[in-house]
Amino acid sequence: MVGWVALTPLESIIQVIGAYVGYSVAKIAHRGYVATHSPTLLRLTFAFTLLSVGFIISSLSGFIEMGLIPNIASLVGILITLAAVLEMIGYFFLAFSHIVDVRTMYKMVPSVTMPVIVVTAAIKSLSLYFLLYTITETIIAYMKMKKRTTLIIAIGLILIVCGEFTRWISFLYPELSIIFLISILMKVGGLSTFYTPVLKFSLKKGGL
Amino acid sequence: MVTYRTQVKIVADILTTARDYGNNGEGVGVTTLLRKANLSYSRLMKILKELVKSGLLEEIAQDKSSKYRISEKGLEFLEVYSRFEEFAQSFGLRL
Repeated sequence: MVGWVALTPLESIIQVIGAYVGYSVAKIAHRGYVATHSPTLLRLTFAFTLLSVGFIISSLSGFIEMGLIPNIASLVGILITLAAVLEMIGYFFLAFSHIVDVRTMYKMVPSVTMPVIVVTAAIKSLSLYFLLYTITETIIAYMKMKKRTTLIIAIGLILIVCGEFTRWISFLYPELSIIFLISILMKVGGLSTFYTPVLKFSLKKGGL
Repeated sequence: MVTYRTQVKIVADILTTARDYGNNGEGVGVTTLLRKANLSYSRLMKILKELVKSGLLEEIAQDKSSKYRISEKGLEFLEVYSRFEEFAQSFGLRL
């Protein structure tokens, strides 16, 4: 079952790293919006701010498990659901940016059906749906622009999705900790790629 | 497949034309701007008016029609625009 499972300490730490990466992207996107009034950058700001807050809230459930934060009845469940909602909206804004950015004559509506067991699983399914759409559009954008950083982001998004799927599989085989470890490594790798444009931007003259 | 330009992209296109075809400060005419920016006359004039008002372009009044020259502020905007455009492109997006 996917859903009401608190994060492990290792996952919580990764979520904090993810939150930092998301915050860095949101910060630059917001600066860009202030300077250019570009709606694309505003949507990126929203997307990564929500993802960042989602990651932080998500990590709290792991810290509760570690005993760093006092556990209040049903708090973990609420936090996980809230984090999943925020992440879903964040991924929606990311996907929405692509929908608005590349208005085409044909309409691409990928149909992905996923089993819905609990509310959180349903929300996470939607997140995956938006992520898959974003991956498709990012790959299309790479094929048009041939920019290496776009390809890196696309690979990162693929790694995040694969990491999430692998985590679901790890619930089915809890005795095989290697599957869980692979899922963690995929997520770390995926989230790290988001820092590439931040780093590139920061290294340029007048960056951060 | 049809791709639409955003307002900020249109502004960047106009400023780029003014920079590249400005003949070292002499300014660029409306005809060149129309051709390069690919806009209707009425829309271009409306945007030019806004750009002059915001200080991104300078209007050089002439006998028959005006010419437009990119200002320091306009050059700075293009510099900033190109940096953020690259940033957005990393996510497969366009400004």
